[in-house]
Amino acid sequence: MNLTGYADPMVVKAGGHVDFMISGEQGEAQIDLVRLIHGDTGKAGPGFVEEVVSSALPSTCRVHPQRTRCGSFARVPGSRTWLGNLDCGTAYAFVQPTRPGRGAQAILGCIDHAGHSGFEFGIGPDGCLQFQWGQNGAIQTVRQEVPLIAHCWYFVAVCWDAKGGGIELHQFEAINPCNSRIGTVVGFDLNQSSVFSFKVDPGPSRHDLIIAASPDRDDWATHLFDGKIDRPGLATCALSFAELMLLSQGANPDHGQLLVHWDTTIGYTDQGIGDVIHDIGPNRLDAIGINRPVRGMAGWNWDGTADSFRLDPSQYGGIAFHSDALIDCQWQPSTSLDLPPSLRSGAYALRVRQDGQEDHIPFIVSPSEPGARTAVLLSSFTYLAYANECLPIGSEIMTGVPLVVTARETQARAERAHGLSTYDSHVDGAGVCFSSWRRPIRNMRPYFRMEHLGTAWAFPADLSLIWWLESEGMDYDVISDHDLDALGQAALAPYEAVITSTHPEYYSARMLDGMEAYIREGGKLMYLGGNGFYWVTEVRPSEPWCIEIRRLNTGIRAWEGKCGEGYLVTTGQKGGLWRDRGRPPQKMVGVGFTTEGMDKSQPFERLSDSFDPDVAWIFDGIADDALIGDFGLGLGGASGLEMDRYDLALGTPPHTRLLCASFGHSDAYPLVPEDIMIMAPGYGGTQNPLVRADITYFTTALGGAVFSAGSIAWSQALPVNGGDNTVATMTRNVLKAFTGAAKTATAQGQRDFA
Amino acid sequence: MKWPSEIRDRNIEYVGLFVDRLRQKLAHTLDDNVVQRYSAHLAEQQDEGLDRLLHFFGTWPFEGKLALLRDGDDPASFHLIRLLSCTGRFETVESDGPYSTEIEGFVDIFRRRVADLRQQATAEVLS
Repeated sequence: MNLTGYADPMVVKAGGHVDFMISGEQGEAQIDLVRLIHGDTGKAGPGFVEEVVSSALPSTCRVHPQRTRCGSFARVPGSRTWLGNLDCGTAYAFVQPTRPGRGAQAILGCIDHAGHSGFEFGIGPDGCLQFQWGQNGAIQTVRQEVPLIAHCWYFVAVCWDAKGGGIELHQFEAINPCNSRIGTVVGFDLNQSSVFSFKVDPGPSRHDLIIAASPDRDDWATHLFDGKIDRPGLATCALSFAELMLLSQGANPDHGQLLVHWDTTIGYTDQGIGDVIHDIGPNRLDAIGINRPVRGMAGWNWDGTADSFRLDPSQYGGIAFHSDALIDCQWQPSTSLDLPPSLRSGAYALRVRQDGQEDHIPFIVSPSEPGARTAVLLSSFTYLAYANECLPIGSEIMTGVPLVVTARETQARAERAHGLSTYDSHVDGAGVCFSSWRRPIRNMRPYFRMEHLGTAWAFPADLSLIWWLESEGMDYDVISDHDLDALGQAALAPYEAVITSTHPEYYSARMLDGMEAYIREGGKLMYLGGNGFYWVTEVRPSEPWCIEIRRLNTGIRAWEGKCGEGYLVTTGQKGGLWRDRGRPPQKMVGVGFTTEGMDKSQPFERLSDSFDPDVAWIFDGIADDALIGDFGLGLGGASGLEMDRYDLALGTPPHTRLLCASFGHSDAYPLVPEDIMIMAPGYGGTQNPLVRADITYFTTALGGAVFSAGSIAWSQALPVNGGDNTVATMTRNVLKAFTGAAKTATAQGQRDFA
Repeated sequence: MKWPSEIRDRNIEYVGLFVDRLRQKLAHTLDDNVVQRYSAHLAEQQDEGLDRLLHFFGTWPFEGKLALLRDGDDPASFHLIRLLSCTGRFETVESDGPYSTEIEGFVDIFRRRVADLRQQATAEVLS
């Protein structure tokens, strides 16, 4: 039993309340509130550093094993009342199964597996359409002989009449040139209709109906369905073949015969759609999605003429269900903490110890009131995007060195017990577009190192910046992406300077708007990261724990959304890259994503702009020929991992100074695909001059300024040699100038705009 | 705030430095047999070192790049030309050729480019 847990909320203001959900062996666990100062245990840095903070927490709390149950489905509250003794009826749906033949999967189910009452309409273990029902412990199963084909749309139905009639199972393929994996040219015969007789009378279920699963013994769900379901329903009589044919062609069901008909195309607005699946039948038995069934999916009738539910919702009745989806573990709180309003902002963790095991359950505290000149903006959206990333570890081709694994990480990857990241794909190959903090996140731990990199990433890497600010005695507040998303510019406005984390990759429209307004109106930004402001990412304001992204057909992407499925249901906006929506990062911070690689980082070298007297203050204490960052915890240099470049054509402000750039990257660093129009040899770092990181600086009309380091590895170089190094010197020079400790930045800005 | 009266693309400085370093690196890979190796395997996949060299030559700007002008159909002759722009405008290089086959022309262009590379790399070191 691994000791682990999560904090809810993961981002909170001082003065707020946090619940800690812990799973461990039954018994007591020792708990402490700690402030995290440094995580990366690389030898060149300060190692793991934490500070115990006195709090109202007890010294121990009771913990017990807590179970995580994955899978998305939809419950239909109150439906058992209406199901009654359904002696005759019809269940139907359009379905696109993605894993037929991988165990029983329910399309509609209310069967009581203990007592065998109720029914389940779905797919049998062999991939064939199946209907199963029971009463008083007796169970009968009927099944087609022609298996359903993965990723193809069908209309499926079962009609039954226990009073003299029989059971009919029907499957009619609903493939058009666009909607399925295979097209129409061959004309495979996938249809089948079969008739069976009753041996067991159907009995009433004690459970409510579930879409895409059946009730489990512990009031959860089993026989989880992988694939899409579109416009399912139940009629109160056995429909005729002619009536079924009409339904299969998209006709509306006869209202007089309906028990329930979920019109999955209803509810879309320009702001997306929620988790309620609307019943247009007489009983209004709306279904509620659990673990975020994916909406905005192309339906059975998607014909390629619409690229969004906003253009034609009638083509977007598809709801994708995944047996391994997880939004909320729903664990019981093990302990809670009311944070004092005076608590210093920062990266915190509940340190939990039990029987020789230790875990840090992280959370971010922003100040109850802004109190410092500088804010560090921690990338809580990025942390969620990467949460529990399980990409295949065979990435030696990127790192150039053999893999170094740990038993615990290998076990976690194999189990996938706490859900996936937005870098992963579900078991059926569909990309994961939601990620939440309501689950343990094993790679958001202070000491976590990415296995295929052997280096810290995101949250633990960002602690290097925290350590350096602490060691410098700088006055700073910590805020998070979630603060910026909720408050926009107001989250940043109180601060003279804002420092980003190493990898602010995931940004919402509100965050971009807020950041741009902050800079435009005189704020000073230190973008000390790489591949920032890249993917369109949104949360529902009332559900900040869950981000949504859609990876589209450009950018370095771990998966690619299916045709027509690129719009976020969270807000109705188009997903993909901000660059594809006219907002390349260069416009805001001077640099934007150009390459990523994982073998070795390189130093920066000074370019001619760095010798301009107007920016000499940035280089105080740095020799003209100094290599800047030929060291670092991020693969040994300050320029590495993911890097950005200056590019006038992508919107770098024309007066931007290109102060430094890196040289000598290997071919493990290729140019990003969004920059490649025609494939040719030579896009690797040894041959392509766009493969580099740039350090830039520009000023804005109202006294603002942006210093960009353009590399994830920059801040991971700060702690080397106790913080006495060229990267730290430059960072210190800029921060002091930006926060009024030195006046040089403003004077230079005035010259720019005279 | 005034729009800058003159916009300097700082990327040009970086690209210049990058190409200078790449040229130096490639110049060190040249040996006396490079032209012979090139011509011997012209119809085949070149070795990795030559492949990189050829890619480097391929990235040279259109302006001033050597190419061949095909004259006549069968038999054709091939004249050495120097491109003046990316649209294909050119001037004839009279000092050499014409060649009776494309292959002869390719080898001569390669020989000239290797010589240019050596010369530029040496000049950079001296400067």
